[in-house]
Amino acid sequence: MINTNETIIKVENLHKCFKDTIHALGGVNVEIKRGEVVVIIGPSGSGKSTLLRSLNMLEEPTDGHIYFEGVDIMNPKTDINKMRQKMGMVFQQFNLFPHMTVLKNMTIAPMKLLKKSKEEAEKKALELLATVGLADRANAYPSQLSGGQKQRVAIVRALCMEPDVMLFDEPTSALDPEMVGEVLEVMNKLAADGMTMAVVTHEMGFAREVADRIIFMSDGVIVEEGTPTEIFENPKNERTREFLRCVL
Amino acid sequence: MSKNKKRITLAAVILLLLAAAAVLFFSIRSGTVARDMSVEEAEQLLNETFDGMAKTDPLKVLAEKNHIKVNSLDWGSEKDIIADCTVTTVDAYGTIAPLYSEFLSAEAKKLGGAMFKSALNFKMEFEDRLTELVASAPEKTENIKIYIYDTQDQGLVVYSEDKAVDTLYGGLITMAAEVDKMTHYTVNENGVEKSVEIETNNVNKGFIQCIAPRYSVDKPDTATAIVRFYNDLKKDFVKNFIEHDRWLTILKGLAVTVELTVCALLIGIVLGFIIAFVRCTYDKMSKHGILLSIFNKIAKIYLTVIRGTPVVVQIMIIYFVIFMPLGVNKFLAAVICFGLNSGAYVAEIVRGGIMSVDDGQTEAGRSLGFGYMATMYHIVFPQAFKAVLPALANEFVVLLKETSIAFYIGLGDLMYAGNAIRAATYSAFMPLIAVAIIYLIMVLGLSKLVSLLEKKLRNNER
Repeated sequence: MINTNETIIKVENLHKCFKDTIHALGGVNVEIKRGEVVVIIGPSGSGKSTLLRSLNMLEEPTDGHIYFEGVDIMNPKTDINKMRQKMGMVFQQFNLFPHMTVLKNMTIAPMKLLKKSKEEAEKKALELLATVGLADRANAYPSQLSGGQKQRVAIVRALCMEPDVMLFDEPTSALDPEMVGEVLEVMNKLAADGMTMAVVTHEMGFAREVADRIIFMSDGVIVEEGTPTEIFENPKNERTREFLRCVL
Repeated sequence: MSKNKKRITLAAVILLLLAAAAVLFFSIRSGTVARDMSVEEAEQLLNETFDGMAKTDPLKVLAEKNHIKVNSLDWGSEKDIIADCTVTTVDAYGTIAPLYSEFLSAEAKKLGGAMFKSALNFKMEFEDRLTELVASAPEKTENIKIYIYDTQDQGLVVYSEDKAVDTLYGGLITMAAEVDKMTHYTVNENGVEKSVEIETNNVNKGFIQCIAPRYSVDKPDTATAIVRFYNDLKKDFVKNFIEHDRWLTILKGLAVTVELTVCALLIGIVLGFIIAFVRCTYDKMSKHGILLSIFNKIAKIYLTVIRGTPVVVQIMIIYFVIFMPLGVNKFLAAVICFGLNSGAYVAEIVRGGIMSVDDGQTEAGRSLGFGYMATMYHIVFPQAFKAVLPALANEFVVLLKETSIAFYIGLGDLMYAGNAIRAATYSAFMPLIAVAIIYLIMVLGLSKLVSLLEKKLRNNER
C-alpha cells in the first residue's frame, strides 16, 4: 500500500525574504516520500512554519523550486488551486468557518470543488467525524466547540478533500494542555493509516513516537535531519543539542 | 428590543411635542377674549343665566333659593374663563326621590288602564306638589366649576360639566334620568306589593318635564383649545388630503421614493461590493497587475470625489449638467446619483468588514483549494457582511432619507408631493408633518427588519 520510494514533495534550494532584509529561508532542500511522516522542529523564528506554508504556496517563496507530485508549483502557469486540493492543511488557530456548521465546514469544499453531491459529501463527512468521535456535533457551530474539538474538525475538514499530503502547522500550540492529547491521537491514527504528513510541532513526544524523519531547522536552514533515534539520542550538531536540551 | 422601544418612545415624544407646538400655534392664532370681566360681573351673569333657565314652578322655586357665588376667575385658553364657584342649593333629589315611585304608581293606579292624558296634563297635575317639595328641601353647598366662553360672534355662552349642572339643580337631572328609565311601578293592592308594567310613559314624561330644566348639553363645539385644535386639524386634514384627492399625490410620491431608494440601494450595494473588493484585493496582494492598479486608482478617485462633495451638488450636476441635455428623465438621474453616492459609503463600510475577517479564514479557504474569488464569495463575504450589517442598515436608512434631496431636481417624490400640497393649500403644517411621519414610519420599519435579520444571523453562530 505504501510506496515509500515515490517522492511526493521535493523542495530545491528554497529562499524566502520578507521585505528584502529578513531571510526567513536560506536555501532549503527537502524531500518527502509517500507515506512518510516528517516532523519539523526548531526554535521560534527558525523558518519552519514558513517552509511548511511554502509547500502549498500560502507563502510565496522568493527563489527555488517546489515539486508536488512532479509538478513545479512555483511555476505561475500551474493551477495552484488544483494542487492545494491535494494538500490538506491544519492551522494553529483552527480557522474553522464560524458562519457554517461543522458539517457545512466539511462539505463546502468537496461540493464546490470536487463537484460531489450533497449526500455524498455529507456521508463522507459524517464517516470522518465518527472516526474522531464528533459525529454528534455535526450540526454545531464552531463557537460551540472546545479547542480540541475544533482542531479535530479542522483535521477532518482537510481530509474530506481526500488529500495526498497533510500539512500541520503547530496544530496543538493554541490548545489547552488537556486537549493536546485528543488531537495528537487523531494525528497518530492518521499516520498509522499511511497518510503522508509534514508536521511543525513542539510536541517532542509525538515527534519521537510517530515521525519517520525529523528535520531540525535553525535560522532558515536545515541544520540536521535524521530518524528520531538519531536526532534525539545522538544529535551531531551543537545547535541541535542545545535546542533539545532546552525543550526536553 | 429595548433599543427599538426607545426609538418608539422617542418618536412618541417627538409627536407629542409637535402636537403641543401645534396647539400653542393654533391657540395664539385664534382671536382674543374679553378679559376684563370682573368677579362680580361673572357672578351676575351666572345667576341670571341660571334663573333664566327655570321655566317651571318647581325650578323657579329652586332658582330663588339657589345662589352662585364666584370665588375666583381663571383664564383658561384664549376664549375661556373658568369660574370657580360655591353654589348654595337645595337637596331636591333627597327630598323627592323617596317619594316619586309611590307618587307615580298612585297616579298610574288611579288611571287604571285608561291612558288618555298627555304628558302636559300630568306635568300640570304634578307641578304644585313638586313645588311644595322643592320649597321644603334642605339647603346644601358645593364647589363647582362653570365656564364662560366667548363665541365672539354670538356673545357669551355659559357651560359646565353634566355633574356640575346636576349639582346646580339639586340633583333633579339625575332624578329625571332615573324616572326616564323606569319600566315598572310598584302598586300596593290589598296589602300585597305588585309590580306593574308601565303601559305608557306619559306619566313619566310629565314628571320629567316638571322637574328637568331645559338646557343643552352641547358645549360650544370649539370650547377648548384641544377641541378647536381638533376641528382645525380636521379641516386642515380635509383640505390637505381629501379635497382634490390630494392623498393620491402623497401616495404617488411615496411610491417614487420607495422605488428610488430600492433602485439606488441595489446599485449602491453592487457598486460598493465591487469597489471594496478591488480595494481589498489591491491592499492584500503584494504584486499588482496593471488592470488592478488602474481599477484601484479609479476607485480611489471615485471615493474621494463622491465623499468629498455634498449630495445636493452631485444630483444637480448629474441631472442639470449631464443628463438633462441628453434627455434622460429625472428618475433615472436620481437613481444613478444616489446609487453612485451610496456605493461610495457602502464600499468603505464593506472594506472595513472584509478587513475585519481574520486572514486565517482566507488561508483556510485557499488551503482547501478555493480560488481567491471563491474564497471571497463563500468565506469572507458572508462574514464581512454580517459584521457590517448594522452599519449597512444605517447607510440604507440614511439613503432613504437622503432621497428627499431629489426635490432639488423636481422629481416627484414624497418630499416633493408634500411641498406641492403646501403650495396649493397654503398650509404647511399638515403636508409637511405627514411627510415627516411617513419617513419616520419607514425608517422605524426598516430598523426593525434589520434588527430581526441581525438576530437571526447572530443565532447562527451560537
